[in-house]
Amino acid sequence: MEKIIQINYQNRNISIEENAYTEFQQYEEELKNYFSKEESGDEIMTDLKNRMAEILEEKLNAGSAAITLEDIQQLKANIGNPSDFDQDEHTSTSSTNEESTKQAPFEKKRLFRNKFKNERVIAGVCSGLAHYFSIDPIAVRIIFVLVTLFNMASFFSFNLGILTYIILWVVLPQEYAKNNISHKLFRNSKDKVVAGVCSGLAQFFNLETWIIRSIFLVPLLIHIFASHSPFKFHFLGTSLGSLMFVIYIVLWIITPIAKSSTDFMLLKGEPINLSTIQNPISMQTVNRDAKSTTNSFFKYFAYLLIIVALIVFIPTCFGFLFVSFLTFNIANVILHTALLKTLGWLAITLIFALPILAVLTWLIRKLAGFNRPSPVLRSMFFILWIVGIFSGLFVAVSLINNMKAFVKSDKTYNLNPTSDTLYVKPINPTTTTSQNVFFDASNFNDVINVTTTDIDIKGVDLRCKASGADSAYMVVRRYSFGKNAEDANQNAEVFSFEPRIEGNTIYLPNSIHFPKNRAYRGQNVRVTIYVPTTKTVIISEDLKKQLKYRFNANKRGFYVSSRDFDEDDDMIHFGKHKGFNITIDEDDENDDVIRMKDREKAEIQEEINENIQDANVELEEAKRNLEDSKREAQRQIEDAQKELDRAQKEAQRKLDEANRKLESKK
Amino acid sequence: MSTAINTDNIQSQMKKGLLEYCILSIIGRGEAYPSDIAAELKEAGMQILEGTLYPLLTRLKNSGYLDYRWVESTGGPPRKYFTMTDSGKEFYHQLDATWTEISSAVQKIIQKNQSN
Repeated sequence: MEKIIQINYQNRNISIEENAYTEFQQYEEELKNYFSKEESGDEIMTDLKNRMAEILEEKLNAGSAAITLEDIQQLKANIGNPSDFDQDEHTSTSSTNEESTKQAPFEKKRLFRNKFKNERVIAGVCSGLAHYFSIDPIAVRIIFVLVTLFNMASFFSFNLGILTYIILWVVLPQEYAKNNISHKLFRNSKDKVVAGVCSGLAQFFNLETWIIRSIFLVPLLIHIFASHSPFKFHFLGTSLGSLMFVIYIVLWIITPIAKSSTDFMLLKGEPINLSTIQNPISMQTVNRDAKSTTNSFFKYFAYLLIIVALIVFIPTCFGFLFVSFLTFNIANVILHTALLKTLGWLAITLIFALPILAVLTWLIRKLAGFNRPSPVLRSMFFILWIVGIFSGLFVAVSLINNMKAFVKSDKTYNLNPTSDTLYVKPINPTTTTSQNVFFDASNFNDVINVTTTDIDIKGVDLRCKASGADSAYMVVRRYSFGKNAEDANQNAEVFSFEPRIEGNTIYLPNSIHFPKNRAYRGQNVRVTIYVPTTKTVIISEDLKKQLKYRFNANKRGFYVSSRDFDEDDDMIHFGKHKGFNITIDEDDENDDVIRMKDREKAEIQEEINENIQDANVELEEAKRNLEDSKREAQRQIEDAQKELDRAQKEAQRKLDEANRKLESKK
Repeated sequence: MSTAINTDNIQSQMKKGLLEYCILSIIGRGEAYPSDIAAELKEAGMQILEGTLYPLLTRLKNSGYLDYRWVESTGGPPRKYFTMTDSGKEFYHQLDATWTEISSAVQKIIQKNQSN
């Protein structure tokens, strides 16, 4: 049942249904616009108004309770549409007007801003464009909003959507649109699966229902399928699936269900609703021309405020929501009871997601032409948001209560290195790096690793210090929060962190290890290795990758960043500290090396080098001597050989002579 | 447009040309209220939209053929009743003569058609 209002029209009291009145007003504006071109248009208009008032009054006198939409349609049929007059006029006045008749279709194609109050949202730019292109104003509005939002998201210095709108606002003339076809979105009661949203959309956009259904259903199916498969695109499926789900719910909430045949005609945009109700107009708006100028200033100022709020507020909400879900694991470990978990997530969802949903709903309602505020929706959103705030407060208070006390406890391990170099390595050498398809969320998720029974938290911080003595040792300091000192102490002991020392190598766990039934209370471990300045400590790359602060690491290693070392703690300062010479071995692929060398060491090295040089010189000399004596010996041998030869020859000669003497004697 | 001859166009041209003649004829009988004029025309088979009738009356009035006066009505504001002026009567007689001429001419031609 439509609301009935009382109007005073041409000094007659008329009871009329609200939608019929809207229709009537629009018709009257069309007539006024048409006859304004006529010579004595005002007079004609007054006559017609009197006549229309008379017709309406007659109708009421005949027994109707109020004027209905049908009555107005009938009235329009009697008086006629301006488009019909057009035809009559120009054919009657023959040749002189023929040219203008010719131009009539072109005149219709002019671009203007729509002057009809109930067909425009801001300045009638979108509605005018829609008339020009003969498309639905809602389509144009959605395009404008999308362009604006995308522009906002990409942080251009100017906004194409808003700029275009303002330029068109300034440039285009304002006119009453003819042949308005208005369209209203309904949920289809005749063909529905869940709530008739899809088939309503299909009717609205004149598409097959199954197309719209698949647009909503496919991302959801991908989501379900992908979450149980090894494929990597589940992120896409998840976000799109949930987006479509949210859109469906929003449309379900804001769209009325089509019941009457008029509703169905509106839904399809059929011509019966030449000028339908988009904006219920109450009695006061009869004199609207006088009031609207002052009202519109405040209206646009309010719009401006809302837009600024949206630009700032909505991305903030998105950001918080995004971070909350990225840190899902951590939050779940901190919120130790089921109640806190439920309330915590409820708070996050309500506080951050609800405003987004509310803005979305408002925007869609506005675009779809629902200008009447919905008190039910408004109070629902408000109450839920307050619920969110209170659950958030409850969670915060109970967490603060659980983290009042802070303790630290030290445990010292003796190191008895047998060489000058100490190695620090991880107990578990494999590094797990999760790869996300869209962005690197590993910074958030690597910090914590939840298995079915245990929780690993990368709360380990490693440092090196000069021990100031000859001894080498390692201090493991545990930190924890708790309700009170006792509770905090218990919390500090509940997790396991067991380093292993084998000769010159220290094996460190890369994380602290919890049983799953314990809540995380900010537990942390700091391992400090104290070594004499003559030692070299080599920390393996593996371990460095696994440790908590790895994303603070510079090329020289996280353990010498300013964050971890401070001056009054007599820490090793890079290149500053006297007596140390810290070098990074660039050639070594696996290890960054810190060498703590004494100057003496270099001197000894130099001395050794000198000695070697001396020795070399001596060796060279000895070699030369040896060569000489070798040659001498050779000469002597040769001489002796010659002597021997000579002696042999002499002996031979004497022998021959003796033989000859013997012969002659014979 | 001027060359195209279609039935709609000719029909409405014929109708429109005779409309003013008919209206003047009705008002010539005495004071008339526009909606009564429309009703009578409709009854006789000459459809006219009131949105077309009012501009037509105004134009005839501006040309000096018609005049009007306000007549009190029961339970409403006064209504505008149209009357014929002297020049209107003269104009009507001209139209009347033309119509008699044309209609007898047309009648003669059509009768020949029918007798064949």
